[in-house]
Amino acid sequence: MNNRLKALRAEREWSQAFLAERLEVSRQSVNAIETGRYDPSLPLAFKIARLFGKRIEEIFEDGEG
Amino acid sequence: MLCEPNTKAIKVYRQRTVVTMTVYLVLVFGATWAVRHAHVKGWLLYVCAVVPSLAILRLLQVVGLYLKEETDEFVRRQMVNSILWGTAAVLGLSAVSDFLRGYTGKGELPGFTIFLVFWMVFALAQVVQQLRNRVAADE
Repeated sequence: MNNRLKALRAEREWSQAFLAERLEVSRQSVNAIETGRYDPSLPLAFKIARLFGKRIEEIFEDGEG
Repeated sequence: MLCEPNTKAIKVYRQRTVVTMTVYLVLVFGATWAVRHAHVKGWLLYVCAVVPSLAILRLLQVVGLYLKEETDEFVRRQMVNSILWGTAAVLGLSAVSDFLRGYTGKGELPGFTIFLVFWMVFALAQVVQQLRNRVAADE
């Protein structure tokens, strides 16, 4: 699953550590999601979407749309 | 840089593991001493034989508690992956050993082999995952 997390984070000039703190996860988790090595659960995806003020599908795409 | 996550659950897990392994060592040495030097017999011998395994059961409970308490799903998944690697290794090893024994009468594993292999593969899987998921300096 592709995502725009890194781009959204860069727009806000947030560090991975800052984003990880806001999401209450490790930096390793943020890095894994950004690089596409890990797809977050639905609750975490909702949390990310709320944090950036966007809908989930504006951040994550399954490549089939 | 190797950046290992240090969640609250991991810290608690490590503390519990250290305490459990310390108790395990005390129980193993105590039971060994009792059997070899105090020459315990009867029901006390059975107690000495079983007591060290209680610490091992506690160790399994510690892993279970960690999985329950870890809130970082990616970090938790790494632990689950390690458990699966360890389980696959011991199931594979025991299958090979059982077939060898069944057909040739040889290949019996020494005591505690399964236990040691599980934790060694588990630890190796943890290291490999940490290396694979290491993060560079923050951007």
